[in-house]
Amino acid sequence: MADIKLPQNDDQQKRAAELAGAGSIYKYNHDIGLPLIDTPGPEDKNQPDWTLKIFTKLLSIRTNIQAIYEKTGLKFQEPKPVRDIPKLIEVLKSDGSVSDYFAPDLGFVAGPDNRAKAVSDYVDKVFVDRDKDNKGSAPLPDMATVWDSDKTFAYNFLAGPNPNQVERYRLETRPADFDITSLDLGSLPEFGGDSMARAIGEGRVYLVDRSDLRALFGNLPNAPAPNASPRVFKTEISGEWKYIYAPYVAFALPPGGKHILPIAIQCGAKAEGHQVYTPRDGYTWKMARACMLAAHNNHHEVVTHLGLTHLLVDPICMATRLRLHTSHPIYKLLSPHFEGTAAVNVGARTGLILPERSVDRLVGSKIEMDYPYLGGQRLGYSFRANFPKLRQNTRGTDNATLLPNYPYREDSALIWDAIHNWVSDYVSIWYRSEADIRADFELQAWANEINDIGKVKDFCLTGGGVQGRDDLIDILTMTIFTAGPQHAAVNFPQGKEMIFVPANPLAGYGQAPKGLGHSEADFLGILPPLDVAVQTWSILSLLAGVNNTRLGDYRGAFNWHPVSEAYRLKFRVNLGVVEGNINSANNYRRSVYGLDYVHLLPSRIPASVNI
Amino acid sequence: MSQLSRRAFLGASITTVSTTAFASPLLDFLSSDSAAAEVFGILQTHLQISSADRHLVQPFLRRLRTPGLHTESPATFQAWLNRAPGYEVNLAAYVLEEFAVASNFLAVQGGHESKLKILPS
Ligand SMILES: [Fe+2]
Repeated sequence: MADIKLPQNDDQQKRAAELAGAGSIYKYNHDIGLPLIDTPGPEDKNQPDWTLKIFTKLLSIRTNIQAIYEKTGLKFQEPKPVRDIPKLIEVLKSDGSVSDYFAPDLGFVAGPDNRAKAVSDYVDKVFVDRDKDNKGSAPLPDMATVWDSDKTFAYNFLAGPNPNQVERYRLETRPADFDITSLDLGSLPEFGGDSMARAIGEGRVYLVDRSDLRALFGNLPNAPAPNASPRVFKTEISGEWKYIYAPYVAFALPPGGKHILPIAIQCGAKAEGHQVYTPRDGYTWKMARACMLAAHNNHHEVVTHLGLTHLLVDPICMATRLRLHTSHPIYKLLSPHFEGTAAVNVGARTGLILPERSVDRLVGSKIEMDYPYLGGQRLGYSFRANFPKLRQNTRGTDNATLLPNYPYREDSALIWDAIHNWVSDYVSIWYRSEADIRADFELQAWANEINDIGKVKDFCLTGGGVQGRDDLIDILTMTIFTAGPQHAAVNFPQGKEMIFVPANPLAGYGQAPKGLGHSEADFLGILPPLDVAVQTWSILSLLAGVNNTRLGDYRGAFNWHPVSEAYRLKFRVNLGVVEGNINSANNYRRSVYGLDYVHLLPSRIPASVNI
Repeated sequence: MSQLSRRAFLGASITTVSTTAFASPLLDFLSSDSAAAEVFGILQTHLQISSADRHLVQPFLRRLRTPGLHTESPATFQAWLNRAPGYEVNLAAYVLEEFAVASNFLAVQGGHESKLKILPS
């Protein structure tokens, strides 16, 4: 174990021969248009604690599914999942499909029973197995009680599943099709006396632009014409029509306010007849909010979660296996941050993100549409431009006075700094000079592999390779941040903010509103049907219900090296301080939002993408 | 495990069950020697657990008696004890499912560990 060396100080022939062995195990797969690990190698196997957590969670999920069958009257196509000894033995004795055994796809519910008659149906027919103290296999999340306010809607964009999409609304860069400059801001609650000119001028107006989802429209052979309205895609599996929206939302900070509030939503292009709605517009406004969330969450699953964590870490893992010898200090540092990643990604590619399987049933877009869109977004994503503080600076969301109480920004900065310190300490052990970096030919080949073959844009600076210790520290910090905290921030809200469908629909099932005067029935009509709500609960409960490995815990990898271990312990202490700071911040956030932000608590951040 | 012995297992519990207070007789039963024998029979038959691991049955049964450590509701137990349709298969499958999450069976099966044990709760 102690035989950790830089390649320039080691038996180079022996290392090269052993690395060639890795080359025979690891091959790229381009089935979905991105360079990904084809088959997990021995280092990529999930550890038994992961398998046990999956099994335990699925057991609990089945309990609620059985209760749904027994108590709600919903008639699914498929029979109730029950205990079955031969199938169970198969699961226990192999890696047979444990999720198909416990929580299989239930099919759809035919007829009018499938439509919610009231929002309470999303509680009563989904979160069934819970007692009066909200204990059981399906406890109701806090979100279910506060979801309907504009404040919670805004919270979703600052601390929800897709929390880094907000940008400042600037006259010079605003989307041409989303003009809110003439909005009567002063007439909105909490903005009395305010004006758009003043708010924009002071930098208090923000937006999320989901017109990027228009890129999905062209990805089907039978796609409607570019100017068709509405654009409708039928999902064969549920017999329901799913709609994709390409909306915009604007937020503003009231003068002296503690948090931003939504002020305007436009559900699609003006040329297609979409107008700007405001909070004064009753159920039409609620429908517009649902359209915005459906688009935002569609983007979350396909791009932010899958594309920019799972599938971004994958080629970095690949290059680490291919180009760094197992005795390389950077291999030693990074390998625990890839635990289970290749396995879960291959599992997703072959089981979860297939036509008409799990994810396809939940999000608005269809897989055939997703892959080209996802590919473009992932390949166009600049590794360096998205270091969180730089990203927030570029987007104009880094100012705590103009955009206060932004939990993701605040907590991610603390975590980033802690990782950066740890990585700086660790790099200083192994690289005493810039020359050590330049001479490390494995490290140089590793970075170039990720940039050129793994297609991670801007992984290398101009000129390629790793250009110094600071460069290496940045690269490693972003890699660890993406594998651990960033994935945690976008994965675990699935089980908290997204699991209650009215709070965060993943797709729309009605046309975006046109005109005014809509009713509660119109609003319910745009929300997913109950079979989808149940399937959403089941899948997202699993994806967010398995939290394995821990940031700062390297499974004893540094026990052999006292200096590394001392720095690792310092990292753990720093993470403990961050934990305390976030807990204190949450006391205040609870008073502001009625919710706290737990997804970046270090005690909840896994080391790797493994679910 | 034979059909007959599964019946005996259920029979033993049914003799003590009360429709109004099912939990206590069940707990009594799970503490009994006959429960230990039957549970071991299920594990041996379906998972080929060896006699050398028989000592795991008592800590496993202790887990099944501990509220919050098992996954089935008292109401379901009651249904089984009342000979609800499919109870025999359900009970054996229940034991197997609980054993999978109470022990390191999956880790042993996956080749990660060699010695079977009950996990700390
Ligand atoms: Fe994930």
